[in-house]
Amino acid sequence: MSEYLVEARNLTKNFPAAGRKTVHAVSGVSLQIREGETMGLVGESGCGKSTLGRLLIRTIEPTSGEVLFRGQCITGMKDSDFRQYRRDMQLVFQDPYASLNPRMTVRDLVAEPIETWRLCAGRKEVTQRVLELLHAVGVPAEFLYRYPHQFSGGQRQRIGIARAIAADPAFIVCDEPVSALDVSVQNQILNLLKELKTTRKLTYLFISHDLSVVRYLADRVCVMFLGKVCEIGPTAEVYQHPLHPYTRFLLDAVPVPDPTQRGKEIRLLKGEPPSPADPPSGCRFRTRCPYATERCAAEEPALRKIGETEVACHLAGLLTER
Amino acid sequence: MKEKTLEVCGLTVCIPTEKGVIRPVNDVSLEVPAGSIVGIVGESGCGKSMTARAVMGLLRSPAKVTGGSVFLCGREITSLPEKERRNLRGAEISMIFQEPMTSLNPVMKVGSQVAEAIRLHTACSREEAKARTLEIFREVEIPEPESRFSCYPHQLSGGLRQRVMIAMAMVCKPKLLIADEPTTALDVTVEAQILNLLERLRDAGTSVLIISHNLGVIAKVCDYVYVMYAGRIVEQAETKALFDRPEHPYTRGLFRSVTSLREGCETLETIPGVVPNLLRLPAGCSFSLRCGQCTENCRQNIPELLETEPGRKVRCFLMGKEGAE
Repeated sequence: MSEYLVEARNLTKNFPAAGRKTVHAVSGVSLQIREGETMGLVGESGCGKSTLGRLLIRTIEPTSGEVLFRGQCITGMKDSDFRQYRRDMQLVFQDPYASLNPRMTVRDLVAEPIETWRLCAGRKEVTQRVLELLHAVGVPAEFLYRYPHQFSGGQRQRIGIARAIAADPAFIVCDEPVSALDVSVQNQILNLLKELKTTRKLTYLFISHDLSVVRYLADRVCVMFLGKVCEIGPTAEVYQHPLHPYTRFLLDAVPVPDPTQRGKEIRLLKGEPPSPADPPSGCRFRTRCPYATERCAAEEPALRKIGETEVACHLAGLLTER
Repeated sequence: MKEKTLEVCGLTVCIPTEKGVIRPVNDVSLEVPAGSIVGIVGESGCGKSMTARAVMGLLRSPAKVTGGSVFLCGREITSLPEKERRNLRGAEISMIFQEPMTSLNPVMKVGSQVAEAIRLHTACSREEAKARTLEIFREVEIPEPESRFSCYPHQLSGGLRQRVMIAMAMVCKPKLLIADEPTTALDVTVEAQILNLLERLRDAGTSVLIISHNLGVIAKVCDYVYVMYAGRIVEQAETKALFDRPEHPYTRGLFRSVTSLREGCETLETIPGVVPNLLRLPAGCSFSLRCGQCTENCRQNIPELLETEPGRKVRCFLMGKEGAE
């Protein structure tokens, strides 16, 4: 038995693009997620974080590399063999408006995975199980026969979560689960996810562009830039002592809700992000990095361990603290 | 006394629906002093965008301004005929939106779109308009302005598109820029660049009204803040004072809900319940359903927006009374 629940080995995913170009969405990413931990995945739009999430639960196939689940390679596995793993991995979507069938009642929406996996026999038992799940996610039982449009965004996301946990999965990929919600509702959903993780012994990959949300939920955090991992480490460590220059810029750019901090001049990233269809040689961040040297253009930095953090930068550890 | 670029008095917007008339903007008064950045903060549906659209004269039917007045540099503009209002838009008062992709014309080169705005408001030749467009592209820090001039919106990144929008809004040097969630669709590193740009515009003499749900954005650039809830202003104060000590129970809840970047915590604070449906507002204070300190009085009567200290107004019965924190 492997010590990791999910493991990505040298995963690469290329998409064909217009003009015979190739978009390198994910390039050679290796990542290990331990049972019971929450791995935060942050980065800006287009860095490949959603693609990576989808690769891990095999909703898309990698161009190369492999995914291991409980030590078993699931890449290229026959569908009939893979079926038993599918139940263990679920996805919570960003947009609760788009991810629920508007013509199904809440009962049928949540019952769908239960029926697919034949977890209960008989209609009554299924409904009973649906009610238990709705209770677990905080949707009142009297809403059982309502339709998605009759709910607020927060309630819809709760229904989406009920669907995800219906088949008792081990691993859930949460892809920006709260970015469509208002702040006061966001926190309700984050608290719910944290509670479910403990009560149902879940492992999360939590994808978000909001660094403070990841800070709250994740045990470890992985920072991506243009399809590559920049830095992986314990959340508190990475947030307090970021080693990769990109992580520093990312953390510095978050507007702090404290007007007294305003005078503090922050350094802004210059220029435009490079295109994933035509990534720079060597380190992919080098065209925007103020510390870049010749070596950064010639040689791609590999992940190396500094303390408990792994970082892909030639200069990490040599740069002065912020 | 500083000159006021924008003054809104008792603005009310009504939308008739099948189930009754709703007021997404209810008796809203606010002002933007010359050379300042003022913010409106609130959750979705609180009426902040509707307020901005009403000020611009861009409400979509059946929404209608049913009360109040809007003064732009001392001149009442809601009673102006549509033709004159159209001349104001773009020249005196401009607006940028959350999603630049939906507000730019997808089949027109971005340079031509900006040049069109110039030619609409000033008498100048095509060449002059193009030169002016390139100049404004440089001012908003669009790299390689010449080649970007003939790009279509889909060829640009989100940050560049928002810069084009800002360029278009600023090209006639308006007195007021309304920015409706200008950075919500953008990444944090780009957000920081755009906020920086808005500050530079303010320094160059344009007053800015920012609408945002993000308290970090508000704290970073605003001088004065209005907090809206269910169509009404519930608290207003200078940014420092507001962040120092929010007074309205809703504002306090909102501030407690902000997740910290620097330290972790066990459970996050939340405001119980959800924003009320505008068709079924409570008889009294609209926050009474979610307020931990709600009294019988709060359920029955609507509190006034009263001054609690110089520069601060709060709409709550509990202010100055025992029981309020």
